[in-house]
Amino acid sequence: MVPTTRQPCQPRSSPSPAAPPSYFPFANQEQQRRQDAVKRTRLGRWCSCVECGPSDNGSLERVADVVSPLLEALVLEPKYQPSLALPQIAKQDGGEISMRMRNGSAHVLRCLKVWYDLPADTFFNAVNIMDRFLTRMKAQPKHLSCIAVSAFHLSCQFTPGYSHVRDIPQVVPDTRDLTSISQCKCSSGDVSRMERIIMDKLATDLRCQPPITPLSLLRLLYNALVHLASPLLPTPDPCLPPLTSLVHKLEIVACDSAAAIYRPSELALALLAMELRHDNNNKAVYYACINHLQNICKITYETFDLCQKVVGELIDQYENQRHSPHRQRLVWKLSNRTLRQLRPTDKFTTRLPTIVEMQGPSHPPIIRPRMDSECSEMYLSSSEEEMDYDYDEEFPPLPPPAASLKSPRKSPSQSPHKKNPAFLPYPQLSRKHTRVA
Amino acid sequence: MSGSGGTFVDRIDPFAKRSLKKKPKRSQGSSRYRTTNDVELQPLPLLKDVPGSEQEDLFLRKLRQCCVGFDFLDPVADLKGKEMKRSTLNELVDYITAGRGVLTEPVYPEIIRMIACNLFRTLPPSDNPDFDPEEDDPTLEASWPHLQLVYEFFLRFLESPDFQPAIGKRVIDQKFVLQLLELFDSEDPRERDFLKTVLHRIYGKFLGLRAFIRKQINNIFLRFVYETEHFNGVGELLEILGSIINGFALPLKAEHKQFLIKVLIPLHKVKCLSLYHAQLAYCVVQFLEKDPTLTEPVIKGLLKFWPKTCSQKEVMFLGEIEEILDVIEPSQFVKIQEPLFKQIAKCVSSPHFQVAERALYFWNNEYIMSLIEENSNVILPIMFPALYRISKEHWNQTIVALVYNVLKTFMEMNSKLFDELTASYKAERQREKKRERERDELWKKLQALEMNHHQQQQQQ
Repeated sequence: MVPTTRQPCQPRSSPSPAAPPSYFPFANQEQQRRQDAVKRTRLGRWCSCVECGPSDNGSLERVADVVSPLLEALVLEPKYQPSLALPQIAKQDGGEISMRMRNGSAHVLRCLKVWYDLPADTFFNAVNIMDRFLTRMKAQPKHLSCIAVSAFHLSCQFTPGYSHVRDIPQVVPDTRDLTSISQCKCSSGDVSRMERIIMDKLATDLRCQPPITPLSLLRLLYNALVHLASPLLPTPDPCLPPLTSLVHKLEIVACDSAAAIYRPSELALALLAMELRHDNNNKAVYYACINHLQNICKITYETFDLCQKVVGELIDQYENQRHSPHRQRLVWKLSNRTLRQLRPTDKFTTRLPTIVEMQGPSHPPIIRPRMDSECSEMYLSSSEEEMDYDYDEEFPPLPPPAASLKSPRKSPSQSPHKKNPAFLPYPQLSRKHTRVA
Repeated sequence: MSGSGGTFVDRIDPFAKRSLKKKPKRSQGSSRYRTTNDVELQPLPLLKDVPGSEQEDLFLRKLRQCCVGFDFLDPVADLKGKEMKRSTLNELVDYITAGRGVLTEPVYPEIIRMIACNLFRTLPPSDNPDFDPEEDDPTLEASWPHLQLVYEFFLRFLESPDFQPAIGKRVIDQKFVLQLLELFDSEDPRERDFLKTVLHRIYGKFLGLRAFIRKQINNIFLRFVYETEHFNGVGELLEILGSIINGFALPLKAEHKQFLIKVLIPLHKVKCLSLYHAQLAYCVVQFLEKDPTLTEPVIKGLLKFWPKTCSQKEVMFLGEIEEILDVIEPSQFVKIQEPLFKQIAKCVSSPHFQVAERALYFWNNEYIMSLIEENSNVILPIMFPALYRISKEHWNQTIVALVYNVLKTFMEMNSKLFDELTASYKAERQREKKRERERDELWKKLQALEMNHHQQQQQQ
């Protein structure tokens, strides 16, 4: 696709700097305007930035730094655009990968990215590789996990790490580790073979250029937005949400196949639009900037509307912290020793039938002033069971049996009717235990 | 625990296997001292051969005859007498099972007397003071050939359709029950099994003894927990209590709640928990099914007694917690989730792989997962740092795989919170690393200063 930037004003090939004859009354103004137009068109990309207030040369040039990479990315965008033609739900015979399966794999890739502490680029690149591969090749569901893991491994190898940012060396996980942790049911040999197939089919040399993904567009558009909006906003720093939270949301969007039909620029811009609609103070400014960027990216209004709806739904689900529709069936491998005894009552059997507690008829409880309050309350409740049974009178406390003489609490010399701590319903416990009411 | 054997070093090491040498087991008789003269038992006719009117009298005579004890420590002593008693007992068992109307009022005291004579004895001190119940074979009762029949007889007596508790309660009194309870400390598991069934029947039939029995069992348990840590019959008693708890009327009486908190929970403290943990856990869970408001004190109690050095016990505790969570009500869960998951986070980080494994396996439980999901904003922040750290640091690959599972589950459960936690955790780690670097640099500067100072001094 040959890029054509829309320019309302035709470029003037030869600017005329000479002052017009003084008999033209508005010549100076006209000249000034023409000079400005020349500056703009010389940059060649800026179109009808009518709201740009201060038009000093410096900001325009900085704007150029922001816009040119954006336009370069837009040029390359179609090369990396997948077009997934997968059915929504898998057919009964299980011969085809469905959108749902693809989404599940995308979520697994996201988890692996977090697991290995990799930058977001790795994830987006991996999803892009996987999607483009699935566009080209009709694969079987049993190979999907292998495809996903291979795409991930490729992405790790070719995505520059964070080394320039945080002194973290680039991490390329070992394939054996990767296959075992992701539970993908394929061997590392399978992964290597699949990688070669993918590289072969996609015919893009990943070493030269990382794919253009929604993330790359998000970054470029974010910068562009900042540059556009900050001069216009009342406060010096734009109150845009931080890029990291936007990246997380974009990841969620990328995991859903409903978003896969849109261009990365559309998705990124739609996300920005959705995020900024909440900012009531600067809505007008942002709306104008987004509009402008929309024109640069050549997104039609209809497409943009639909895209915003899709993105909006996915973001809503994320924000409301609702459970993801994907639940991976994970394998929980335990050691034998632990498996043998999981719950204590696993091996508990009893042949003793239940003995039902008898409820006595309610009658005034027997008052026992000589016992302390706690015990009398407990004893009153148990006396109901034995109805007219007054156990203390019928059976005076027994002398301590010979075997338990070692207990210091029981002293044989006490008279049976004297309060004996050993024969209260519960022995006196040491004070450190709090009493339960 | 009393352990006088073993070297000094063995006694320091808590993990030393107690009985390294397998001593040859000889069965023990109870400490009964017999006269050396053999007692001559007069042979009596069979009950079935005698007319109905004389049966009661013969029955009584046979019962009295069976009160004579025999010395089983000496295998060859008085074989004739032993055989006679054995066959008499056998006959009595059949008589009481088949016959109708044999349980007349006069026979009750004689029956109890015969049983008491045979069963009630002082149990000998343990042959092996370092007895490890899991490893060693128990010391069996030498006079089991007779005792077994006495127990069998007792059981048939209690279970007989002719048995009348109103008459029985005159002879099966508190003193009798107390002596019966002491026998639970027998090392012979067969005896304890019989005792368990016998006591269960007595509890069932004698309402008047129930409070007493419960009280005495409490005494036994409390003595066990706080004084001796030795009692062989804890499991059997707990099994009986399980069937009692199952039958509790609602609302639960204060006495029973007290029992749960003051007796059952402290039973978790003891070193030999593994011997009776199944029965104990069953009792605890039964209580919670009866009255869910007891959940909070139970969990808090378990957390208080959480094992700090014994990993095997920790694994048992985790199993019990899972059982409790299986039946917990969501409103109760909310009350205990914070302290509980703080402990689970510690378990997950444990270097002992079995503890970590068992704790992580909670996430495979559907009901627990639904509870966690309802309260993910409380639980995720507690679990997250531990899980993230272990994913990088743990030595055991099985654990690392389980941690992946848990993290993936969290991601599916609440992506937003998960992302926020990841970001803030990473930011925190960055700040820590920065602080460390600054501190290192400060030390280096100080060192350089010092060396400078030294050099200057030397030059002077």
